[in-house]
Amino acid sequence: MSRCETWFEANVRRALGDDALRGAVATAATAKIAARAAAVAGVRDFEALRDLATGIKQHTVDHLDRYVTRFIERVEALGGKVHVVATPADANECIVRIARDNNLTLCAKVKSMTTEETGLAAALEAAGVRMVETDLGEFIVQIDHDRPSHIVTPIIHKNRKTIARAFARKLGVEYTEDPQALTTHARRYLRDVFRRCDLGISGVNFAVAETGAICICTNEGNGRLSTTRPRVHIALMGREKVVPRTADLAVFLKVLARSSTGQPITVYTSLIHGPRRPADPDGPEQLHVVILDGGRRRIESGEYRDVLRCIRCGACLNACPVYRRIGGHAYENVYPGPIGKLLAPLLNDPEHYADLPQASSLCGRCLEVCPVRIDIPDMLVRLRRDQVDRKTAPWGRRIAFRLASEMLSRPWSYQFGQKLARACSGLGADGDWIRSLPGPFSRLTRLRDLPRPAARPFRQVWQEEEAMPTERAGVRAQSDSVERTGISRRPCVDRAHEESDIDSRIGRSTESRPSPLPRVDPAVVRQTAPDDDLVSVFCARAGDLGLHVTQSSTDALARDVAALVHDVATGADAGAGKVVIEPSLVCRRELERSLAGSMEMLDPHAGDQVMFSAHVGVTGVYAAVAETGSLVCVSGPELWRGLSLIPPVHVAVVWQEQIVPDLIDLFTTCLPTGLPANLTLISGPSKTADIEGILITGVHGPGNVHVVVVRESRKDPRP
Amino acid sequence: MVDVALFVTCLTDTFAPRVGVAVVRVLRHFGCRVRFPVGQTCCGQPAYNNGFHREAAAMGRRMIDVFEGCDYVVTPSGSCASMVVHHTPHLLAGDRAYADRARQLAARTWEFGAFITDVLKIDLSSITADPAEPVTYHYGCHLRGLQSADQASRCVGELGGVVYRPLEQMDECCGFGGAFSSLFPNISNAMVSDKLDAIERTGASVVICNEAGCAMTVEGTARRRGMNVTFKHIAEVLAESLGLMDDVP
Repeated sequence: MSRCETWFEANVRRALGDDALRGAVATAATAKIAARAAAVAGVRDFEALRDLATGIKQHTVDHLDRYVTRFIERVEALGGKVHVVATPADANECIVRIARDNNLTLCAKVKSMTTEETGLAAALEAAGVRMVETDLGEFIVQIDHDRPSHIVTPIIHKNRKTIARAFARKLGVEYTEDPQALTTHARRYLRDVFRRCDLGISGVNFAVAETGAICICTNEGNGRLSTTRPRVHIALMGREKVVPRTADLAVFLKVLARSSTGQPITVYTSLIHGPRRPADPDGPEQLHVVILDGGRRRIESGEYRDVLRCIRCGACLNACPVYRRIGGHAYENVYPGPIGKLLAPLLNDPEHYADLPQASSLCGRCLEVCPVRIDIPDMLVRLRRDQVDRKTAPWGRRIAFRLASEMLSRPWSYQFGQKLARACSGLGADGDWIRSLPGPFSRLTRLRDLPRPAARPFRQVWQEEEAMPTERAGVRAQSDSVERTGISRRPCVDRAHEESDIDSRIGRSTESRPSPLPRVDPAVVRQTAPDDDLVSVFCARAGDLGLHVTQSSTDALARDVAALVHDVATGADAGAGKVVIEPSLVCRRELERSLAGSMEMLDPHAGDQVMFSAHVGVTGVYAAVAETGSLVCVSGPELWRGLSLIPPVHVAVVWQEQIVPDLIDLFTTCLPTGLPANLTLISGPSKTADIEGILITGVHGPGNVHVVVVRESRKDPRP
Repeated sequence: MVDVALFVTCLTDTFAPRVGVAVVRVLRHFGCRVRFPVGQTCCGQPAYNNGFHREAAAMGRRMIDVFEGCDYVVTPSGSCASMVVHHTPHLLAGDRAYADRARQLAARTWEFGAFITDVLKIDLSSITADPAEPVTYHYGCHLRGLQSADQASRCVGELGGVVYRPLEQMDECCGFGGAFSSLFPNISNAMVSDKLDAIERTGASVVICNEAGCAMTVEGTARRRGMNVTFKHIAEVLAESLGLMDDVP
């Protein structure tokens, strides 16, 4: 080959030579796509949810200035500080300045692709701020000086051996390949960070314009700890993260985790409304939201703006046959896989990433799984067109395609081409197949045989065929009813919504199209039926998520909870016998009486560190969601965020009237008036599958969550 | 009688004329009047996919002119059908003389298998499958948006007496992808190899593959590997099962 290998081709060659990498990525990606399919099948009308998600995001992207402005106003009204920055370097500078101004030295960081985009880690280090990645996968990446290779599961490319070596080397722990033991080492190390950190940095999954909420979805609990413990919380977001209404979250939360990991919802979903209120017992004193342009405005105004609908679920990576074989590092970009093939050239220098749009078979699997229906294959073709139009595509390719197109455009030259190909192919032919071609064509036969053009192409055979009698047998089609005009096509699998309105797809992004904000119809979104027994649905779903559910009654509640606490608090090593009870819990006095003697009751007022020494936290809830099996906890006076988060066991009491049917009900009719600084949905025990996809519970948040459901009305309402 | 214009596609025309014959015979067998507009060449898909949109638009216009006035356009390739149905109307959206006609052609154009099951509504279970050996089915990616893998594989699975062994990961790309397979032969080959492994695991001796491009790639690699499997288009299988191909080896 005369041509030099490009950087991407070199990466591909290396990746394909690494059997361990291919095996690990393919196995994990296949498992995730299967999990996605199962999760999607569990939803009544997932396609309708995808349509809604697509419509809402498209509307938002089409009116981004309006929604970003509204979001900024709301955040500031809540007491947060907003910083709008143009470039990744500006974002880093802004964050470093906040750290310096507040004398912050230790940062607990949540996984965020936007911080990867800006290269924040290096900027903080240069400024003397110690930053620790707290997501298990990102932590492993950090201590092993590696890079994430997937936007959701950053160490999809690593096996437990490499992780074990990194832990032994960097943390000085005994060598072990046991994912549970490795996770425990990380937990210990990071607990110390969470105790002492004064800065938390997170990304943002969704930013709600209507309320100024930032929504963060995590599984391990590091996201909650990093936004609860430190004095200052900085959230960095791309400006396209905005959604108009809280109700929209009901749609996006339903599609995000299902598309991403096949979970019905992430374990922790936090809505953060500004910094802590004066009466809140814990939470950051300052909230800074940094809104990054970073090339997005340029995309917004052009034909690629659909790409800004992306919610970073990673489904397209998992589905992609190319990603599965070369892994994420080969793309040399923060965003690998199909979405990265768009974002890399669009956000950066398109010439540097010229190979990426070409490295696709346009198979369309990415579109098939995208929750917001981004037509990635279509955009890859447009990027290829841009290369042709800018004349940056290799000249050989341009000449070859132009010549071929000329030849194929006329029957006489087309037939001449057929004859020429047939004649030339005689050289290396072996019957109907060609085993090797000479000279520059040899690469076509390096890996496979090529078929030989037929001696008589179809158009020659046709003349004899045409002369044959039309009906050869008596079978007749039952086709009289077939419509002869109009589209009698059955609804298409994926492009149905687009085909039904083909005009809207044409030039979608070049014309300014008024895209209305779709109404979030509770009837479409809600997964429960009106006559469902909500207590039963909640108990079943919560059980599916790994919460331990028991039922009790008003009279037996204190006794039942005491017995439960007794069971779970003894026998454990650290903090055994130490319990923290939410002061406003209905049955607190009785519970304390029952536990007195056998347990040590810690007073949450005694300071933050109490949470770290306790083994069990007992709380009430603000609400519970039947459809997802989620507990909803809010911050407020006498309501500690840490209680349901820091002790390894969380016991929650739920009353039947607190159970709402669906997320849509929580977000439309049941949100507290006067938004709490923090509202968190807890949907299972803290968990991770970062190490070889093996599920480990109790990473940073509680590994055991017990729910006591009282099938009665609450007699003694909270103060 | 249903009037059908055959759009044979350049690959089938050049490399697999037997498939074209099978399509004609099966359609005639089921009572269609088939004609072959001889002015046809290429739908423009290679140019389109590689970013040569001016050239692709010119070929799209030619398609429209050539196939003007037919009730149905049937093609043995899902990929070329997808070009006509999904892409040409967008390419020509701004062309006053052709935009409407492009949409009309899109509405009339069918991939062969879908035409058999959805338009002609043929009861495939009434046809006794030949071959009697186990068969498997390769789903061409560009059928996406026309027929799902489940819908498309019905053509095979519902044949009377067929021994059908579905492929694992049926809807995963075989690695062809047009210019992709020559620009990135190593990635393509990794994909083809996995596809062949999956074919081997089914134990099928016949692979039904309705895309000439996929077939060239997968069969060509199978031959290099020395695998003993035959590749056939569903039209060939139907025609053979109906005893229509005895004179065409």
